[in-house]
Amino acid sequence: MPDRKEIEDVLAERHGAALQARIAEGVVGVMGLGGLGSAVAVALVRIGIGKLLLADYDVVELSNLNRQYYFADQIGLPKTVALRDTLLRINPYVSLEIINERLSEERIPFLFQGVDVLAECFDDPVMKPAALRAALTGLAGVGYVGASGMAGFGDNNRIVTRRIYPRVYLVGDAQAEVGPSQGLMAPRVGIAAHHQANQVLRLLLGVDEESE
Amino acid sequence: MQIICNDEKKEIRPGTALVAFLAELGVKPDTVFVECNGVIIKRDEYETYVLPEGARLELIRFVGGG
Repeated sequence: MPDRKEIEDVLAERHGAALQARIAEGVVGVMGLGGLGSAVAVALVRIGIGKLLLADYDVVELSNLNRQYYFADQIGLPKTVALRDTLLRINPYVSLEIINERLSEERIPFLFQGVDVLAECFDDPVMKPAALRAALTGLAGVGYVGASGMAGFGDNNRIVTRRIYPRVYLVGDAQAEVGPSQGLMAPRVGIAAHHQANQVLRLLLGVDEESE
Repeated sequence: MQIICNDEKKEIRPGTALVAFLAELGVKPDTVFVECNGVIIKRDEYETYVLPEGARLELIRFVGGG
């Protein structure tokens, strides 16, 4: 097993020492650990994020495995616990805090006080605007990357990242809703999740530009 | 009277509540983020918030899945 310094050195060598130092200071909240949140968390741990706050109330189910970063032997475990186990296999030294509760608009500002960036990865369309309101009114200045519209197997390139306020972004096609006619599938949810992860990284590195 | 919703002019009756305007658009109130004249409107105000003349409304609709 590599020690902490070996991992840090390899990341610094790959990404550049100055840039890696900023990533290693980053604290990110991930709200919802489904197809979006589990993939966002994995991407951020792989690049050496400093700390993640991982929030979900649900347990891993067989039906999640078509798109979420869990394994058959984790069925029945709380998603927070299962994902923590997986992330610690990628980097045993990453700092992880788990929040095993159903989030609400009222609780979000308390639970995520002090994070640099918040990733909204909920499945529920009611929690998505609620979380945006919570962040804008209760966590002034926080970076925010939400998501809406990534079901089915529609055009890759309709998944976009839009800047809606300074340091506040929404990812997705804004239309493809999960329903009886189209489910969520790993490829397209993964596209959206990695848009989110890259936008989180950009915010951590101080980039906040309108896209062209 | 007129308001501007997501950069588009809309004609509404004076006294129209936000929730009624959303219903006309076919938008479920629980799934939309609303800013009016630069102020974020809380969900529990949608029923009582009356759109003022010339309001600049920004709506962000969300769909499920994640």
